Amino acid sequence: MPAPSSASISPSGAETFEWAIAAIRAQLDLLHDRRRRDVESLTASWQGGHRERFEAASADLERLTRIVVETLAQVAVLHRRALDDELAR
Amino acid sequence: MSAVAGATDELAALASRLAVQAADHDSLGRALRRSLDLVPPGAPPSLAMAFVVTEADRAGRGMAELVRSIDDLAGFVWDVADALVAADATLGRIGTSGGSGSSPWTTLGSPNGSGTTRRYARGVRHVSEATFAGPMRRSDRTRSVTTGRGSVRDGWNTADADVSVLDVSRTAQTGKGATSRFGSDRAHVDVATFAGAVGTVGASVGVGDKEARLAARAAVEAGLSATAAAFAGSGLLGVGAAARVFTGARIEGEARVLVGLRGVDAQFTAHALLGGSADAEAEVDLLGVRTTGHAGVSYGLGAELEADASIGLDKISLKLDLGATIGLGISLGVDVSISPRAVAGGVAGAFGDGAGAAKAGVKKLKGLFS
Repeated sequence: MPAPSSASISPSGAETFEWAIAAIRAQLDLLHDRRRRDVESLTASWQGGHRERFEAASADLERLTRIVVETLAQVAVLHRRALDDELAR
Repeated sequence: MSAVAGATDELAALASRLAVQAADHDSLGRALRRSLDLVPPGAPPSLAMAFVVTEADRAGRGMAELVRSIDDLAGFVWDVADALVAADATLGRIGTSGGSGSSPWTTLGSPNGSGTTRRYARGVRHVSEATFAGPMRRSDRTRSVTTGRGSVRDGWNTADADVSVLDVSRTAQTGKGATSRFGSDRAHVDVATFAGAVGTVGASVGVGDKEARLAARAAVEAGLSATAAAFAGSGLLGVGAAARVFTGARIEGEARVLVGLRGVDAQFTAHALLGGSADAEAEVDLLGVRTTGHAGVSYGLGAELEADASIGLDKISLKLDLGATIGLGISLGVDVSISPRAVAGGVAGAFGDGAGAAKAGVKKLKGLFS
């Protein structure tokens, strides 16, 4: 962890940001797991019409969630790299 | 509660949970935007930190798209649940009976006897129901039977429904009659005579998504009738003939009413005959080719009434046809039908033996020259 005086970004701010991103990812994973269980339990006994549309929409949610999770991971990596660059100056 | 009704509830519950999830994701999106405030800008801002902000923006847009998609799915599931509820309501016009026993798809009730089944297959909700109410003893007169079936397509904006609510028919007769058979099963003549009156009444009610149908029919015949039917034949050839002679009075009528969104259409037909009629029909079935012919002759006084009334938003019309006949009337007709499969089978059967003999002859000739 860099010393407070060695970077323009304060360590406490950086830690808070990383903590916030990690918390958002964890919450996203939690919601995603809950929704997937919900949808999967109903897909097997789907009683309405247009089952293909329901399954396609569910799969689309999986895809979008994966994109957001990966982007957030990228944010965390880039942020850590930015901190390292600041330290290297 | 049937399993189908349960499924509707499950869909509604899922839609609610998805709506909550959409709100939760919206909150996460706002939290993500606020988290960028936690990063104090560098002086000067570094390129690496600019990448962080860009990627965080991209994650925020993805989160917003996720919110919209979850919201869309919630709405879609709501629509499906609503469509199923609407389908149930439409099909519920048949009436549901309380059940003492149940299984996932079928309810059975007692003591009067009823059965209901509902199922969903290939985009269409189907229901079949039969109820029997009233005493079962033959000596009791109060008895009613109702059968119904219908289906509803669960489209979003349209529903095709066609429900037969009631279809009953009853025949009563009074008089004396006798029936006799002469001959065997392969060749026989059935003779029946009846003197008295026969009455038939029937009614049907149907409900569709575009119109309601009501129909009633009645026929009364009083007098003397004699019928004779003869049949003789085997597998390849069958010959049959039937004849009926009637003298007396006959009156029959039918009324149909269609009530739709565009108006009302009513039709009424009635036929009456005072006198007599003789009808004969003959049928020959030879190697899958069936030929039937009929001839009829009637005499006496006849009357005919046909009325067609139509009341709509665009047009109101009334058509009336009245006819009367006195004297003699004749009718003739011939009908020929061919069944290729039966013809092929019949011909193969009939000539099978000959073909076998020819094949044996060829074999013998081959033996001579080998």
